[in-house]
Amino acid sequence: MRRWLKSTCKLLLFVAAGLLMLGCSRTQESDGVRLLMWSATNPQEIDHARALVNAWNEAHPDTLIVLQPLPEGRSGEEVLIIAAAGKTAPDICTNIPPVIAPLLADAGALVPLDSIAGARESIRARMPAELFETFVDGDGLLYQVPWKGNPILIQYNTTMLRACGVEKLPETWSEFATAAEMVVADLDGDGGIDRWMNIINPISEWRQRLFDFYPFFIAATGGETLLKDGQVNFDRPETEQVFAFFQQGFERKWFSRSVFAGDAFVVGERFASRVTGPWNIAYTERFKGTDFTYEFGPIPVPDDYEGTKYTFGDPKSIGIFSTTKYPDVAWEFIEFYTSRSADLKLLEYTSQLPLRDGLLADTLYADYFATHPRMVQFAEQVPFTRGFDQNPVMQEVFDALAAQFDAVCIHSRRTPEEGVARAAERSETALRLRGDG
Amino acid sequence: MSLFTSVDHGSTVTKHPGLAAKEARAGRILIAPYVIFFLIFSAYPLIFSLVLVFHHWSIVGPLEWAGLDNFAELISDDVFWKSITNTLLFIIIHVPLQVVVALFLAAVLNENIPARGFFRASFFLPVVVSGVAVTVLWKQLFSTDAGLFNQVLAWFNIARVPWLSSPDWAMPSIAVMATWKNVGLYVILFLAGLQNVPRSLYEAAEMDGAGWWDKFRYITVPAINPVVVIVLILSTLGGFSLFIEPYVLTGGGPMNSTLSGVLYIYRQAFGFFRMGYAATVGLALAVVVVGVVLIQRRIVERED
Repeated sequence: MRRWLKSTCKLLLFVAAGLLMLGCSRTQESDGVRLLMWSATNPQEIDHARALVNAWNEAHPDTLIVLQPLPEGRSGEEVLIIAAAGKTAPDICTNIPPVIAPLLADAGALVPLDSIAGARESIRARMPAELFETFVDGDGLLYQVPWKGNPILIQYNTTMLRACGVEKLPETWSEFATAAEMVVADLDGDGGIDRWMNIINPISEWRQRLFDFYPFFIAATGGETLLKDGQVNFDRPETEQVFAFFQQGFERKWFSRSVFAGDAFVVGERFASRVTGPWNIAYTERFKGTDFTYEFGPIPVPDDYEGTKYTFGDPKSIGIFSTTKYPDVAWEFIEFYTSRSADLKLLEYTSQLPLRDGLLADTLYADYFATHPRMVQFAEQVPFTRGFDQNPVMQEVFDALAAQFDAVCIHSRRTPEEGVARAAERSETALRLRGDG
Repeated sequence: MSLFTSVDHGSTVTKHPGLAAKEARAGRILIAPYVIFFLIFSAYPLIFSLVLVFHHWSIVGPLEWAGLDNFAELISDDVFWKSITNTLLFIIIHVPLQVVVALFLAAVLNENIPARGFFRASFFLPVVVSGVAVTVLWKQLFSTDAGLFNQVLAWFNIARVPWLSSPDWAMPSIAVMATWKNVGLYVILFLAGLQNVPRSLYEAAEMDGAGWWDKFRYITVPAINPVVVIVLILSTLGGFSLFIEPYVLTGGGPMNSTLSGVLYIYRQAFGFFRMGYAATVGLALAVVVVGVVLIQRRIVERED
């Protein structure tokens, strides 16, 4: 009996201590505003976020930001959707893929920024005018702060190209094909190819198609995206031509159907090129061999294409979740986080480009671009990028295209015309049943 | 007066009503954790998923009544039927392979071979290693252009096999990998069965002039038949829950050739956030599983 009493007392003491600690933390919270912010998980972005959050917290002791990297998950989209569903979303997230913003917006999980005085105007003023409209939701409201982008270009191993007799970076499909025919080789004479033109991840996942099909589609159509006014916009000859280009590439073995262990481009040097963004500059500089030289070129376009060269911009946005009690404070912080000086920090820490108009003309960034000349090419490309259509079924639309890319391009089981028609049919069904517009 | 009685070893014991009530209360308290666990983690999700099949739900928004829309879509959904066909193909390859390999290894490991303990542990090791780790390892082995398997084939001048990148080869490759991963568990089950076969039966058969095959066919196989049934049912159920291997190795491709039923549910639920449709696919898959297991049971019962 005495033992029972003793353990009960211990348990009560433990519970009381817990409640006391909880009470203390509540008291602390009631002393000022605290907002939880989720950032991307890569070390550079965490360092960047930490620097800015520390600066904010020093200047605003009454409105503290608590930084936490995005919780682990298969994808950022999955984590954010589940957090929104479970009402465990943060106040602010700086890593919202625009592809899921409409889904979150439709569910009322994001604060419409139009409801915050001056927010929409401020966002519009910061970024290239042409890009702004691509982030506006189907209902006409803005639910995300377009923050940064990574224009997708092609990185070439110029040492390898020169060794194969290719002197000029390809800019058209024909030039790419000619270069590929010179690069592709069976080096050890075993009947299998050992050197390819371009590395493509053949895994059947729609996200992979953002780094092969989608930039080529945007480039070939002069900046079109997959939907227009809520309807399919890819049932067009250019899409069939892009499919045919990749089909030819896999058949001619410019691309490998294999998944390679490790980095087969910079470290393995088995490919002459890869489709990538500016984040790879720092990586390449760190891991390249002494003889490895490289340059970035545009996404090749059809031979008869004339005009500006567009590409996929791989944008990321900042959002305020509707579970926050302080949307105005959150916006105030976001204004600070996307200010001119903060954008310089973004460049310095992450080698990613702020979606800011006149980036190269602004003297504040002149030193940065002078010391990072390779970033100039990416900065010039920013206004000529495209992201995702703002429709809740975009992932299904991409999946429909990815399935046909698999069948048509990688495995040559269908004609490009048939593949595009099938993808369009499936996308139209998804748009009709679950889409906006 | 009602009395609580229980029968123990043939004798009837009469208990005091107060004691019986106390025991009943204690019993209820003892099973309460399980009942609560069952209600929260089994009954509620099951009932909720049955509700979901009649709704559209994106997980973040409200439930929207869908009537029979999800079922109508399911019937005309080629990818769903492909995922069921893929799962059945996997089971057709994997289950017999698993049984044959496990039985063979168990028979060998039941003999007095050197380092028997080491081999038994070695075959069981993949079972306890993380599925993702094993799958990542096999991904490298299967690589068409840089994998070990094709390098070995090249020594014999055999052309490279597109293990995971061909729609025809991908599922059989995954079945082989899954067999390697799980065979250790079934080896243990078969070993337990083999060790229960009386030695005297073999000795008698030897005196009658039976060879190795005769002993295996007429003594071993009938004696371990109950184990074979367990292994068949367990590996069939395991086959229907195929997920990690295609998820990590191929993402369901190429051309949906390794898209299993469970992976399709996952894709619908957490790829496209279509919870209602995912629940409908789950229900359909459950019906298929019950159907296959019933057929399997009937065949086994008939053979008994």
